[in-house]
Amino acid sequence: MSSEVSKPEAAVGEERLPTNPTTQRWTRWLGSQRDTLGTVVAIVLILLFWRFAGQYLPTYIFPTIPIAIDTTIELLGQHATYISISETLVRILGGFAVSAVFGIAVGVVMATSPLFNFFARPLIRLIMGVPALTWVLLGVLWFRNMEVRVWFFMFIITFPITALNTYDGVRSVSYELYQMTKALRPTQWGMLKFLIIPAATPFIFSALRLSLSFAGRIAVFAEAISAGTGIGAEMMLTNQLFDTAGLIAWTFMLIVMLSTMDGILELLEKRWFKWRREMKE
Amino acid sequence: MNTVVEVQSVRKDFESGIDGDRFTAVKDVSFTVAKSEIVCICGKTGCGKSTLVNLMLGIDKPTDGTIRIDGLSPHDDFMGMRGKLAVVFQTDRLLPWRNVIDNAAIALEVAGVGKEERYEAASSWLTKVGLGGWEQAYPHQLSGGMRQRTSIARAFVTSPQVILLDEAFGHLDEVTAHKLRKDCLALIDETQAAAIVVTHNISEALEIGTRILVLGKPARVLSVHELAEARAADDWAIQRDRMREEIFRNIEIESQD
Repeated sequence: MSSEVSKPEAAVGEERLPTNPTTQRWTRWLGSQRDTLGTVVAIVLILLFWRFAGQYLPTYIFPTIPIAIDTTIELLGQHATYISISETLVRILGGFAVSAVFGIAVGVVMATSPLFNFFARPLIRLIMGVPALTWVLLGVLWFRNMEVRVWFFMFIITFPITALNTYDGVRSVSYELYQMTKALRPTQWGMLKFLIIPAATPFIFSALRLSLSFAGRIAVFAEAISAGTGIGAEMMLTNQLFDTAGLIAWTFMLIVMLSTMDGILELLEKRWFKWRREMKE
Repeated sequence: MNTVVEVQSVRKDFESGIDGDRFTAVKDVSFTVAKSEIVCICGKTGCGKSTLVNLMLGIDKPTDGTIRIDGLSPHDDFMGMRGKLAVVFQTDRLLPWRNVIDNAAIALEVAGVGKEERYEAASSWLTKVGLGGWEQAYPHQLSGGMRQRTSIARAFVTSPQVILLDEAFGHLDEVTAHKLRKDCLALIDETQAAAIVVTHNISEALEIGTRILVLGKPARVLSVHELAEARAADDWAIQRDRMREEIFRNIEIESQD
């Protein structure tokens, strides 16, 4: 006698999936944690390489993991470390804020004034085409004050990114929404407030995240070349003293700092643009 | 008769971007709309209806002729017209980053009305259009009909003297469109606003209008059909069919020319 039982409808699509519920749960969990797992695997591979290199290469070329950890802990125990970190942090945030405000303003004006765009766009392209090293060398020649130099480098490298992305964001505002908002008869500022800025904000935010990552790198680079303080200057010092463990420790602290800032921006992005993500879904 | 809208010999030329030639989108349009009147503007796609909408909204300036809404020019007295003229477009055009109540209240916010007052007004209009309880939802969480209801609430929130419906029900399914049209007409009736309904749907125009203007291409008035009295007559059904045929023929002959 046949004991064949037809499968319930819900099970049809799951034919090739393991039937064990525990296994299914694990498969689903692994799927949802794919990005995290990728990061963990990459870190493990780096640590393995590090362990191998540290074992066979001299300490001044490649220190072992315990030495690097000890150096980091030692640095974290010193008051001067926090001063250097805070100096770099203030420079990054300050330069980033100035370039963000200026970049957004320039981008909005470019998108709304064809005449300004006619002159500004090629100029910004030109600025972007100049190698970073040229700006650093010019900055050293042009400015005596170290702080001004660092801010100048960050500004000149990051403001074009914000300006061009803002320009693209404003240009991407749909004519339909423009017509609807215009029919409400807002002032020019109202048009910016109610439509242009909110519509362009996702573009601006992407640009800000990119700018922040550039600002971090440029600030450290500029500190190394032209400032006597900050993480960049500390890294330069470790390099001159062949203190590779110190260099790794400072790099680690810089990565943590930049990742934290980017993480905060990512959280804000998720919170403020929830409607956008849900709309796509 | 209390005339609210006066359109006199309006013409609109555009410069062609390709060879610098000028083309005429609106050739010669004249009509008036009184308080509580519903004037339907019918015509084929591309006959210049949208240009006429932009001219009435004051977004474009007529090349020739005048438009007066409550005695003001929508283009020259742009800011003075705030709140007097509202529009419902074919698509809802809701701002996706604003929730339903903020979308419905935006016209009041633009006019500088305080938060409490504008929320109260928007909430009341949302209830009238059947969206009570949906104030905090975002446009992507609503159906097409609900989104269009929000845009109707947005239009009525300033209690405008003139309401422009630009193919407002054109993209909805027949059942939803019928329901929404009925609700919208009830609101127009309640507010006593003058309504201009731009549509390519002759049946819709015959159903809701007190007058129909048939436009040719480029936009000019081919014929005018008075409906208010005809609708009250016993032979309305026969007259309606005759009018539909006449309008259809007018547009057809025009497109052959």
